[in-house]
Amino acid sequence: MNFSEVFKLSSLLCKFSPDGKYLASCVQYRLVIRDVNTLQILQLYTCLDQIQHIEWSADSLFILCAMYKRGLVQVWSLEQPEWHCRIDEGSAGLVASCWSPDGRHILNTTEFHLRITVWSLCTKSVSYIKYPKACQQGIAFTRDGRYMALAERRDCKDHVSIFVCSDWQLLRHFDTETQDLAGIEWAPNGCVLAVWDTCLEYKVLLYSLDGRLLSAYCAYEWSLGVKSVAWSPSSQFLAVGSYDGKVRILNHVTWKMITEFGHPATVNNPKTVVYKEAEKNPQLALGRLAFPAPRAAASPASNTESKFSLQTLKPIADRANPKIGVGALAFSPDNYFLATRSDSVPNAVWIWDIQKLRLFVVLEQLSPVRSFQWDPQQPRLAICTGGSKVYLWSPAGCLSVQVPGEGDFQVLSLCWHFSGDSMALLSKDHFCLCFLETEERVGTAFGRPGDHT
Amino acid sequence: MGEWMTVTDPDLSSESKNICQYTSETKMSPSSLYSQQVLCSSIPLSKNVHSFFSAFCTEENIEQSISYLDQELTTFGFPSLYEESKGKDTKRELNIVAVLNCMNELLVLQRKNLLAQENVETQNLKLGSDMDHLQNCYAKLKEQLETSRREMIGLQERDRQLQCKNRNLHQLLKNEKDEVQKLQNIIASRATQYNHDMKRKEREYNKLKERLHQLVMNKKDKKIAMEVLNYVGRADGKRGSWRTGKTEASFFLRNEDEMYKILLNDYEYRQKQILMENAELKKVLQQMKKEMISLLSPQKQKPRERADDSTGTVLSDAEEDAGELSRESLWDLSCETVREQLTNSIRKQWRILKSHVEKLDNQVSKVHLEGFNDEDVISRQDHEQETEKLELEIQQCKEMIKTQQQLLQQLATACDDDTTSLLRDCYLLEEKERLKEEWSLFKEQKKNFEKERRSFTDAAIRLGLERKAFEEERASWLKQQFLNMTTFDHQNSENMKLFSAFSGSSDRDSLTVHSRPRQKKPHGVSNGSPVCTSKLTKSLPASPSTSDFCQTRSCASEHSSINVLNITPEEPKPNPVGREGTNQKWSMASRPGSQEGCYSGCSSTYRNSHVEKDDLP
Repeated sequence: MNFSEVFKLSSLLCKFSPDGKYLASCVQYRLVIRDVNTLQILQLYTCLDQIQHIEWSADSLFILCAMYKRGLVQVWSLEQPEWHCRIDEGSAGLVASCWSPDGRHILNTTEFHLRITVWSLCTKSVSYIKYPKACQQGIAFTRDGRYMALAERRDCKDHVSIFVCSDWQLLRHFDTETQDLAGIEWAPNGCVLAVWDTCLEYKVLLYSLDGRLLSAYCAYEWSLGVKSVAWSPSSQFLAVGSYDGKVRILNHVTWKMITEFGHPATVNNPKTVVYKEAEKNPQLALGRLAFPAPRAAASPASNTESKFSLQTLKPIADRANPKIGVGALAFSPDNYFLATRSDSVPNAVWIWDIQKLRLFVVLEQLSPVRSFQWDPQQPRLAICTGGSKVYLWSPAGCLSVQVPGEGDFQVLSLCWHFSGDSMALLSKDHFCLCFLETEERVGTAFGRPGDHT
Repeated sequence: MGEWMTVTDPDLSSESKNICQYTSETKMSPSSLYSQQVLCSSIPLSKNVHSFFSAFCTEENIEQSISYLDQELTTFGFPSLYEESKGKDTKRELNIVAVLNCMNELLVLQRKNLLAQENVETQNLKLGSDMDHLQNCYAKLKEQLETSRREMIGLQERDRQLQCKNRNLHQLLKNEKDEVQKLQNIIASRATQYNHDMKRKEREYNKLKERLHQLVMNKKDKKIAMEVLNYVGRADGKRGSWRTGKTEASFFLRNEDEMYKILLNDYEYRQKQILMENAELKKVLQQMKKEMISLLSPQKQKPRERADDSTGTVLSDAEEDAGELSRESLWDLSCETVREQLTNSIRKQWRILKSHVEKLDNQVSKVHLEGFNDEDVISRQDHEQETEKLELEIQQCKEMIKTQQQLLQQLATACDDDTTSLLRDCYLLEEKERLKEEWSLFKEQKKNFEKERRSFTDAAIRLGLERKAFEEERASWLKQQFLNMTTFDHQNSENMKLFSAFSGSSDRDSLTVHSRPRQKKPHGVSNGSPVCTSKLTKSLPASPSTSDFCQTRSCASEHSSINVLNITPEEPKPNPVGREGTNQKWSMASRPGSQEGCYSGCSSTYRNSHVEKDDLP
């Protein structure tokens, strides 16, 4: 595992281009485009103000920089450095900006969610979509980029509009049976839209592309409901994490629950492997710190008491957004694993075996897990906890890597290159790339099954 | 006392009279007994009151007392003391015999009474103790009763308290329920109010939004604009088309078409998947059925034998079904018919299998009960014996493995401290041993050869000497011949002289003594073998140096048998040694398992190898 040198960064804005060739990062009001392999600066664009959001177009030709404070969006072209585009939302303000999947339209959401403006880079045409709903996840594009679903609020009722992205025509418009819609998400095959209600009510609705209600699912009533939703890459499963600390897996045939995964603070099943991060001598800072000792304690063979308690957090009941429930979940790209994090057990990541529908591995870190992301190519999970280490898990084992360099590099976020060969580690004002060995050399970096079991 | 008696006497008599009236036969009734006792006790009351008796009967009142007694006795049923009166006015005579009889009877009675009294007294005692016991029991039971009564009262009290509590709790529950109801109502009202408020607020908010929208958007905000250097082409290369009223509908239709196409594709894909899955499942079912049939067909006879069993018919049905199904191509049939047939047949098969398994279970249990009398079932003892035997074998094998491991370890530690080479050595142990043996063999051979060579050199030296002597002799002989040729006559005398002349100063006797046996020996050697001599001549010039050893050894190895043969008559010594060596070797080889032998062999080779390091290439 190799690390690049450390580069400057502001507000965690660092993104690989979709084609994997470039890396965009922001330093204050400057946008830096680097080559992924050489890390040499290819382009340097200067924006009008501090950049608050960047996004690559799907074809990696353009990059959008949003400056919400100013209500401005600047677009840069990689092919023609002299080309520029500036969109000013004026007094309407700007709270969100994103590309349409074709990479030629920009959707700007004005302040107070008054409307969404669709700016075209090809023609002078400007479209407006009124009544967008201010919610957690109000816009969703299908994976093929053909359709856009938009949550709307009209006459105190939730609606969903489905647009055809090629000409922004309204295809379907239907009201949803939700109290206060919180989010929408397309299935990866683009045929089913999952809609979930606000946390006050557990309700997941599934709509077909043509607006038919396929199914409604409600696990329980009178308690805080859905917290996170994720589709499996095969569109076969819908995982719903809720405030009761459980993940429910719905199937795509009957849309009924297949199983539910609880997140208790004690791991009882002796078959489950628990990796517990152990603090080691700081002198050994450089290099990998596998955690064999706790592994031994948790391995099925030696774990005689067959119970393992995780550190839990007592939620503060009288505050909004209590730290309970399943706050993050993600399927591995091959559908075999589901990684979840329960907010009441912030240090742990649960990894579930979807084939056997059971708990597979629990990783307990020393500090709360900030984020985790699956390798896009193989079942390999990268985790960061805001410390100076990055953690990797694969079915073969688990390891932690200290980010080298002087000073403390606190990994707050990470993102994988689509090839899975490298990832960007982001700290508060720096970032670096971490290159993972290719397949032949992986054996040295990863504990192969023989190493541990 | 006397008074009392006098007073009681008539009383008693009257009483006894009464008693006699109805208890003349049943004398043993307690009351009568008692009275009799009392009566009797009065008679032998005590001896110290003799005066009283004497007072009863005095000289004067003999007649009276007799009559009195008579009277008394008659009243008690005794015969009269007097003789039968013959005449009325004649004085009745006292009948002594009757008196004595009466007295005897009285005494018997007295004894009887005493016995009865004793009995009664013991009975009385018994009864008294019984009474005591019963009284104790009674007291105890009373106590128990008291305690249980107290307990009962306590329990009742508790029950009452609990009931009270229960009532209170019920009350509380009711209150709580009421409270809950109230709260729920409040919540509901609040919720409706909240919803209402929310809606109102949202409407207001919407209105405000609308206003804001109008204000912001309709003011022709100059700032809302897009500056572009030049418009870029679409990603798909198409040109942007303007929407007009006419095309809108067609656009919409086209979009819908596309959407439905996508949906259709998805459904088709899913249907295909499901079909595939179905086909797989059907295949599995079919296979399962076939296997079931094949499994069950050997048992076909059994169920059919049983008249009451319906499984036979079911089985035949199932077979027919199976035949039909296998004839038809299963997957071409519509889903429902196939499903029904398949599931039915599977169900039947399953039932058969189940019954069969149950039967087997029953058999097994029966066999258990019968104590393994069945012949075609392996008896338990056999089984156990077999398992025991196997376990023993396993144990032995384990032990063997252990000992071998130990041996290996010991050997390894002894031979080499390096673990890796140890491991390698372990693997090559056999080979190594063989090599060692060869080594030792070679060693022995080499030793033999050296000995041989030494002997040969000795022989050669001797030969040289002999030759020298021979040559001298020849020279002398030639001289003599020459002299003889010249002087035939003085042969003997001259010969003697010549000898002395040739030998010079050295004493002639010793030389001749020395030479004589020598002359014999060369014959022996030359007789022995030409090979040997030729070889000797070859090796003679060179001293037995190590460099040549290889050569000689190779020679030796080639002709070792010949050499040995050749040497035996001449040199008796080396041969036994050689034999010993071979013997030793074989003994070693014969016990390869013994580790000491190996060890010693090993060490010897090591020593040898040290010694001969230079020789080996």
